[in-house]
Amino acid sequence: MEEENDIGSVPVAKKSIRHKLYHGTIGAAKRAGAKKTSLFTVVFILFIIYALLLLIPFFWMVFNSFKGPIEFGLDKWSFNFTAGFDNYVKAFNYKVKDTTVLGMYLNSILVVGGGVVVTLVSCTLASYTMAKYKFHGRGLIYNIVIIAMMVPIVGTLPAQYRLMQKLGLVDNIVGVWFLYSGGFGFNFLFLYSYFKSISWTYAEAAQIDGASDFRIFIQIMVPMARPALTAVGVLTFMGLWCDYQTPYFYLNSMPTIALGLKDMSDQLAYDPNYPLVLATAIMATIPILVLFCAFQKTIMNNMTVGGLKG
Amino acid sequence: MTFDERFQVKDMQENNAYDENAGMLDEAPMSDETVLNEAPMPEEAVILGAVEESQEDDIPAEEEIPKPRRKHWRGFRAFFRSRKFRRGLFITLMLLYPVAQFLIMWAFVNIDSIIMTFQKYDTVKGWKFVGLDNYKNWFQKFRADPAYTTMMVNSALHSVVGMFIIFPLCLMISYFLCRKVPLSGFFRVVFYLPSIIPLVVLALGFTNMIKVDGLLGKLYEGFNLEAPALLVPPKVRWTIYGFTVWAGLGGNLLLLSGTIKRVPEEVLESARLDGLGTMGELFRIVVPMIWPTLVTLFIMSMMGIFSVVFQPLFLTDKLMDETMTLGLWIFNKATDNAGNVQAATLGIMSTVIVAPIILLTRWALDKMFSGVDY
Repeated sequence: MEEENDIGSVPVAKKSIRHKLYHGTIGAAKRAGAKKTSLFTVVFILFIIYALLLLIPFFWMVFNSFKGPIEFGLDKWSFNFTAGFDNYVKAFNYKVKDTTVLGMYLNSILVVGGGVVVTLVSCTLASYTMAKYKFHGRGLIYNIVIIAMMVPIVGTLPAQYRLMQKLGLVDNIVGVWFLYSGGFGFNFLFLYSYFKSISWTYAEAAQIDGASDFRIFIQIMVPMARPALTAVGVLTFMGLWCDYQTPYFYLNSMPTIALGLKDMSDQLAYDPNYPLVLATAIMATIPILVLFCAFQKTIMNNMTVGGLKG
Repeated sequence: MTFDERFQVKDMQENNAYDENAGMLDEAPMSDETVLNEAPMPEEAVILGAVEESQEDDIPAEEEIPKPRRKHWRGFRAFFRSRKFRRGLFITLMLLYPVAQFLIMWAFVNIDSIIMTFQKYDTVKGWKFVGLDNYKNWFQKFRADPAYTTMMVNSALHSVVGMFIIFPLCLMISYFLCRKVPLSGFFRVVFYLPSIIPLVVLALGFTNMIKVDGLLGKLYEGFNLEAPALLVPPKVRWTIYGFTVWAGLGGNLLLLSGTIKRVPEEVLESARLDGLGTMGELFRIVVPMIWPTLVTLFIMSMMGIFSVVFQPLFLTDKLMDETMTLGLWIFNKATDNAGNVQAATLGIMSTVIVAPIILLTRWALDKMFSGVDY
């Protein structure tokens, strides 16, 4: 009987512990943990798939840019890199509408470099003054800027083109810089909130020491906002580097790399020399990747600090 | 003081305006540091010396310089040297360029865009007013032209895809990246890449993958199936939606994960202790707390109706009725002397229809979780 009881009781006891484990707090936590782990595993797998979907085309472009016309024509998925860097060298000298790819590269650097400078200057002037000084009309300007951002007015392109024609700024690099130099956009909002967050005490101290407003701006506030300015500068550079529309309309004789690449891919779409297009595409992407990798922390951190509030 | 200014002063004196002004200007506060900071012009040095002396001796300026003419100069000068004036000048100079640029490129261009819809370009006479002709033209096309309708529908669908597919997925991705899925740093960079790479390059990569000898073709080959032709009608429309999703998921990643990271950890911790699951945490805690940012980004996704411009052009290398969008149509006609007024009219009419919807949505969304701040 005892044995039976023992034998009989043990499973019961085990069952009750299991029962407790399953239905008690520990069990709930474990199950929640398991559920969470399984959810995270699913998410992780989905992320891997999406990352592969994004990366495979680029790797495909990279390794095909090292292939000669024959290998490329035979098999686009083989690892037969006979051409080496030949395509890159050839691409540099390839002419699209009288401009070599190297020329386009230089055009891009000139247009985008200038564009970043004017954007930064204009945005900094506007955002600093609006954030740190109280004056008549400040609220009005701010509200108009917000409305301009929130109300999508489309179809202004023809009027913009007409105006630029009247001003004689079509096919003129100054015109492109002028278009890029808007001081009130999302960059403005970002810098505005950044300048707001800088304490005015520094400026007061400088004022007591006899610094003028301009000096406070240049020597105190701008250096303090350097991380934000760097982030805006890098993001602007990346944005303008990819810009297709503005150079297309206003800088036809000085095609940038984004514009030239499109023309080149149209020209060589059915040509055995297609790897040249891929080489150019890789070259067009490299500056952006380098910049992004170099300033990744600055960009991410500042986006975190500034955030965006409507 | 220049000759002109002296002349001006003399004029004012003669007009009897001098006495009133002198009093007012004299009261304008002198800034001490400006006197010290700036090297004066030689002819001003004398007066400057007088001012400094007067301050040292602690004698009121009026008694020091009894001549009304000089007193006025000082008042005038004091005004120009006053902090108030200098600050005003500083603000004006700082805002001059940005405001001028904004007025020209935003205000003027928008007004001119409206004016343009009442005009037409004539090769002989140039621009002339034609009344409501362009609007009548637009209405006729809107009613009867199937290509026009396809374009409107395409744009509206791009907006829907942006709002209800890309935006929620981007939110989920950002949230899970903040919850430290393994390799989250790597994923963050990879997912953000399409937002910074030129669209032409993205389109090149994408089209080569969906061609018959691309990745998709290989997959179909593996299953012994025939790969579909995705870059010609009728499937090309869906290909373009697919492309916008593929390339757009990371678009708001930085802003969203930046904002989600700002949600205080204590709040999330207490929610977890109360037994809230991962998805519950996202939708019940994180979403309400970052609501203002979400509203702004959602509205921006809504504007996808206008912002899809080059995707169809870059993917298919040509303009097709099946893939036409509002933005691309306007882009295509902008420099064409016959079509630019149509483009302007289309833009204005689209704005008239869409802007109220957007503003209303924004207003409604703002009401949902108002007053959340941390």
